[in-house]
Amino acid sequence: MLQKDVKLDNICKTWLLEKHIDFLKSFGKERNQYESNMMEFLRMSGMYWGLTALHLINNGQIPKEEEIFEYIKSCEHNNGGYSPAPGHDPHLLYTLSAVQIACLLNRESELPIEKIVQYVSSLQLKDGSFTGDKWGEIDTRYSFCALACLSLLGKLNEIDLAKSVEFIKSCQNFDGGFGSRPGAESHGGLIYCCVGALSIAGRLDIVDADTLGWWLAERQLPSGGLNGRPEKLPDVCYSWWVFSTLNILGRDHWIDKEQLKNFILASQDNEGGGFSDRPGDEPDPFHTLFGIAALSLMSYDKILPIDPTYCLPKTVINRLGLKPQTLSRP
Amino acid sequence: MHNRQKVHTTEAQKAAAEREKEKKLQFYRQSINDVFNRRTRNEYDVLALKSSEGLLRANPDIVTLWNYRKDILLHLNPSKEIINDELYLTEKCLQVNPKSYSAWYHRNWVLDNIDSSADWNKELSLCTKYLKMDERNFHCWDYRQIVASKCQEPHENELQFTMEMIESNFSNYSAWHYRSKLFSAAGKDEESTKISELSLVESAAFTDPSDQSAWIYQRWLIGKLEPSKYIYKVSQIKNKIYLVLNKSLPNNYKIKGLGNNNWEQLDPKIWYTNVNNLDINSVEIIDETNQVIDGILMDNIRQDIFQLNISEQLRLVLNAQVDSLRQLLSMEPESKWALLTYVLLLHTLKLNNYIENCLKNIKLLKVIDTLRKNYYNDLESRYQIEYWIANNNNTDTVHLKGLGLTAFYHMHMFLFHKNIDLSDNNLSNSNLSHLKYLLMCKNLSLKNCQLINLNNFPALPSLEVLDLRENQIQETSCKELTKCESLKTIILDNNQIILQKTLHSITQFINIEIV
Repeated sequence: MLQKDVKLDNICKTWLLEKHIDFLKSFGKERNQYESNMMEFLRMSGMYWGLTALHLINNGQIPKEEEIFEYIKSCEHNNGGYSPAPGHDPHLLYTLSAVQIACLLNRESELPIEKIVQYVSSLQLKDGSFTGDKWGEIDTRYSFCALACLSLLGKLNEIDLAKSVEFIKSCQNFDGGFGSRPGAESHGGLIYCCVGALSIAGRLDIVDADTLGWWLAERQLPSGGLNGRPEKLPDVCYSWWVFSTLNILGRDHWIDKEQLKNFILASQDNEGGGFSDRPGDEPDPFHTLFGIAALSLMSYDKILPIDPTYCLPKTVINRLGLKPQTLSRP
Repeated sequence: MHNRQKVHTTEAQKAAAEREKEKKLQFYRQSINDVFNRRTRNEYDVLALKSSEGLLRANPDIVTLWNYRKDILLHLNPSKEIINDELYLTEKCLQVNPKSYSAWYHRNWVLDNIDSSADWNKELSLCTKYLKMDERNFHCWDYRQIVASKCQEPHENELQFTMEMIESNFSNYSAWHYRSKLFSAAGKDEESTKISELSLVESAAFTDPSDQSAWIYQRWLIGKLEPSKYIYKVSQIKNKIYLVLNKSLPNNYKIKGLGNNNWEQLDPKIWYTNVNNLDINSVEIIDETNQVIDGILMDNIRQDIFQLNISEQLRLVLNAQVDSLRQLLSMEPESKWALLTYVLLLHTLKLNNYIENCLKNIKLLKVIDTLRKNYYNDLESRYQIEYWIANNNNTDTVHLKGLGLTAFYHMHMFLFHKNIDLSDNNLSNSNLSHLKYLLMCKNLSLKNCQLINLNNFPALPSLEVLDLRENQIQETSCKELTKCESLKTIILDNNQIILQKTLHSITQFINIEIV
């Protein structure tokens, strides 16, 4: 069987800093009306992706800060949750994005913290898991959202942390990875959520770092790109999910960073800037953040340093006095 | 936004696309405003249900629309026909986006909360149908587990299903994963299962040696065969007794001995207690049923701590696999997965001359799998250190000189040693904090270890002499050494003049020897 991978021959790999800045700044402008509307069901996260990426490559500068904060306020709900856009329902995913953006703007203290804490903690179930909203979908992505959100607000003690950890542990698999629920298959994105949540909880002792680190290292394909599961195509977003987890586990040297850099740079859009999932596809803010964030972990160019647990600039995490746990190299 | 190929277009095509977008945008805004208005007016009828169908068929990820539908269904007390229409809609949406979290969840929610006569068996057949079309869809695999437990499908049948999927394509990692879960859930950890799984995985792996799914599963099966003993050594340091383990204790296990004192954890693998009753001179580990799992006498060292304890039958099966791998490698000497599995098996079984064989093949792995060469370096370090531990009963001195070590594995096992020689290794990228376990170490040599700094060097209480010759250490990092209270002598060479001066300036009590 042929291995699933892409070829990077003859693809331009120069760093297109100015184009990326233009690409990211174009969101929220007239010419992106269509995309902006069609994607409004996740707009709050879209803004977090775009603004964090811009912060990292634009010297920490974000334009229209006031307008952005007003937008967050317009998505606030009475129950303490945030929706992706006005008119939509609140959800833990967008509540985390709203808090992340507020932290980026250094205005998290202006949020209704008590209400947010109330909302997030109300979503924890007896077994320690979290649901995404009142409709009851359980997923380890929401465990990460809850722990990240509360710790950013300095309120991690408001939930049953021990139970949260126990639930994540119950999602651990034979390969050392984690899935979305007990029994669910390991997946790069969900592994990041679980290891990230354990890093926030200071409970990385749950992880078998050598077993999982090796499985994650095996995600690297000859093109240099990383996939999220065995026998799948590489994708720039796993450059973050997989590589940041390797960083948290102190095993980032188990893959070839130069090759990964090459793959990420080959996934830039040479015309309008931004990054796509893999070379030749349409760029979007999601892959743009995760491409830039992974490059940041490799100290590329002058990209500001990012925190591997929170996916926020280190300066923000330091300002908040947070010290997410990481493991040292063996 | 995944897998959307960028297409190059002419100006005219661009303009046409813009008009098309404009039309779609208007349709979207009108439709979604219509739905939201109905919701504001608290409309919970069939018409309201109809209003969001088109939008969801175009984009099944708009969660709020599903939420409104849930509200409507709860109000409606719907007929079986409406419920079936709802399930049909989720099916249609999953055809548009088979990875839509919200469409999968809505389907599950309807069956759980609305459909009082939910047919979970039909649902299981549907999962089978979907998985035959898209064999790696993890949403569907995960959903299948929920469904299988709802209709109490016997584990045997589910194992049979994974078998069919694996037989049609060995490369189905999702199916291998599900097997691992089914065995654990059925409590089937006995040897016969291990043996039959090993033979299944062998035939899969040999059919296509470049496919990693079966090999990863096999690595797990081999990894499960871990040494059964816990305790490496128990000994006294000052007024404390330290217990050194090879693996962490399960939560419900207890440590017993030395007058049943309370044991505290320094680290998952190191426990200590205060000295009070030395009449008892052994320590035991007991499980939740008070059965003794392991025990050792004070000051004894368990040299065979890494030895496997398996039945003769399983050993025969594993030995046969080693032979098959040798054959495969003679035909395909650069088959990475065969080579790696061969190394793992040799190391697990500890056959004659295994260490030379392992090291030789790890060297080859570094060449044929360069992306992961640092992983193999660290694996080699672990094997070298384990080999030393398993072959030395010297309780005072550790010799790990010149082994090409890149990583500090098992340092906690050297808790009681006085002289530790780590010279001539490549520890430039390792974290010196791992040395924190060397509580009794008086003489430590890190000569020629390619160190560039002393960051994270721990406060070693007994350390007297430290050899740092032939390293390029930045002088700014040597402050760490002042935390070692007993440190008397640091050995440097002639090329480390600046380091020598800096050390002089930060401490008067340490004697610097230039050799």
